[in-house]
Amino acid sequence: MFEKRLTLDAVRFLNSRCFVLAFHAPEIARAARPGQFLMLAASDGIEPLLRRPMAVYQILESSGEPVGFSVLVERTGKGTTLMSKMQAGDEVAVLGPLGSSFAPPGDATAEAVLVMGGVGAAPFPLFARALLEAGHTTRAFIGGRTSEHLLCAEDFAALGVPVTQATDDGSAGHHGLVTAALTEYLSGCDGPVAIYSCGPTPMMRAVDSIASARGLPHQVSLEAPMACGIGVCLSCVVPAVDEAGGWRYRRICREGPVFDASTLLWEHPDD
Amino acid sequence: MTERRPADLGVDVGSLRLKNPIMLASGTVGYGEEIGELVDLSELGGIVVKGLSLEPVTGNRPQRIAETPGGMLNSIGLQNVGVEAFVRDKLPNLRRYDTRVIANIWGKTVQDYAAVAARLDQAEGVHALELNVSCPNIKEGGISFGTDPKQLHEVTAAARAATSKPLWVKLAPGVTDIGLIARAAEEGGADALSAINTIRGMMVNVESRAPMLSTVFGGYSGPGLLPIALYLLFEIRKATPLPLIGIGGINELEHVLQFMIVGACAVQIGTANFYDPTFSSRVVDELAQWCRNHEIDSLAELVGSLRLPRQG
Ligand SMILES: Cc1cc2nc3c(=O)[nH]c(=O)nc-3n(C[C@H](O)[C@H](O)[C@H](O)COP(=O)(O)OP(=O)(O)OC[C@H]3O[C@@H](n4cnc5c(N)ncnc54)[C@H](O)[C@@H]3O)c2cc1C
Ligand SMILES: Cc1cc2nc3c(=O)[nH]c(=O)nc-3n(C[C@H](O)[C@H](O)[C@H](O)COP(=O)(O)O)c2cc1C
Ligand code: FES
Repeated sequence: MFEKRLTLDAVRFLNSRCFVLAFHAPEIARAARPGQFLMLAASDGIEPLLRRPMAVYQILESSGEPVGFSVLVERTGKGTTLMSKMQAGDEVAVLGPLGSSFAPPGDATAEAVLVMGGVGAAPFPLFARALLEAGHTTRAFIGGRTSEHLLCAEDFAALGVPVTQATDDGSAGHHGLVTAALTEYLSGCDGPVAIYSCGPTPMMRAVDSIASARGLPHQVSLEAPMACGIGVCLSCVVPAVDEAGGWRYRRICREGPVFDASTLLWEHPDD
Repeated sequence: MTERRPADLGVDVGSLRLKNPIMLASGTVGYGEEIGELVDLSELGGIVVKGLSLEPVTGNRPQRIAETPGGMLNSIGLQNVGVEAFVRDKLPNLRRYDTRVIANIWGKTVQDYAAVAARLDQAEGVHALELNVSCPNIKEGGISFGTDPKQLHEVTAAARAATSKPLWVKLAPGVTDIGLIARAAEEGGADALSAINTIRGMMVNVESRAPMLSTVFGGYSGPGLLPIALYLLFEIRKATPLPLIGIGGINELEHVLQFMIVGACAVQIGTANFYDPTFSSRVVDELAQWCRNHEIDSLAELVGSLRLPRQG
């Protein structure tokens, strides 16, 4: 991991709420793996105090060499609103890359099915590229509340990855939940499949019941409020099974954000 | 022209010499493993590890933090690996560094504190113990050790009897008369006092109308703590001659200097490690530069040099 003050290279708005911040940072670009994240300062001062966790969206290349990265941000609160006002040339404190990454399917012949909701799509175009390079057939299911919340479809299209979209309000793609489209697709599959998901917790849980009902491997990328991003504050924990058959807390920033879903306890064991 | 030699930043916390007054505060740097990837711990005066108990502790259920104006709340619940695993798995890595390792310890009973202190007394590479007394004494109706002079005296004396290593007591801010508390720790046998720990606070989510922390309230830390901590240190300074360690809200050199002028011989950086993880090593350099600029040869010149205004 690197702690840097980076100059913001470019800002690009995708719609009224979502934007991409691009940075020149060769060391981070070389080290970053799909699914990893960074801690970005939203301001130079102490308001807001804590940095914001953001997934690595793109690795930017020049003559085939990694030279930078970008993050895809949805404006939701104080920090992301400040980020939406950043301009090229601004200096931003960045720590990363952090945490675990998505691993390609263990079965070399498996198809990879990526399921994402809202800004949870951010880490997947990079991962899709790695999957295609490793020879895996790859397919994306994108869900969102409205058409404004459907992200990354063009990225997948550019990679030649087939996309199925669903919105809660029917403003684009299937009317309804992306998990319904997923179930329908999986019913017609007979080869090996590995599932990957990132998005709102109810979505990931629903994807996990679909995956476990079919005995499919499933990796999830989790979110939690984070103070440090490096594993020292113990704020971002999630209950997970341990080797001895009990459970213990795992740090989303360190052992995660990407977990093998079968190790997670969606219900807190004390409930 | 002769080049002035680099300022000597060494300070003495009682019998324990630190190479400089900058330490990392308990609970904000784990056991040094991860922060060691960003900061060379050998450049610092010391590191205080996450509060250790006799047995491993799972900690509170999430949500464990909330950001606030000027700071943050936490209710980690003292999650830690336990003293045995610390000595076995974590201490060897810390011993690679040329820095002071201070073990922060806590318990639910006086006997717990004494047992953890006795275990660490035997652990090579632990240079001092710091008692976190901001936890409830389950045998005395759950009143926090740090708020009752009698209990604080008892727990300090018990830890004192269990170790010959330097013993620091870390005071909690939520008390009526901090001077009284400080004297109780002194009389119990403390070698130094650190102040302050977090102060209780809460935040509410207006949409769900639920508290932001699963435990309802938690410990407030960060920039907003600075003036409170400085004032309490000032009161403690008046009450006891013990060496003091300033903690609370530090994120600039200026804050370090303020603590030292009020009377701290060393300081600990806490929450700043989260939002500015390399601040601690930067501030060591800034302090050296400041001393050169001000022609200060020893930090002892600074400690307790507060000039009070004429009253009346
Ligand atoms: C590993 C990881 C990767 C992420 N990747 C992205 C990404 O690529 N793009 C993107 O837009 N968002 C991403 N998020 C979510 C993003 O961090 C939050 O939306 C952001 O922190 C909100 O900050 P705010 O100040 O705008 O919101 P506020 O509500 O004002 O924030 C208040 C506090 O809560 C925290 N918080 C609020 N929402 C979240 C959340 N969903 N997850 C974690 N902390 C939260 C904030 O960090 C802050 O400490 C990611 C989160 C994690 C944990
Ligand atoms: C997440 C977190 C965990 C903490 N854990 C401990 C602990 O285990 N023992 C302890 O004595 N203090 C603990 N503290 C208190 C700090 O060491 C420090 O006293 C306090 O945060 C004030 O300093 P600051 O404003 O620089 O953070 C913790 C603080 C935070 C923010
Ligand atoms: S955010 Fe601090 S431990 Fe994960």
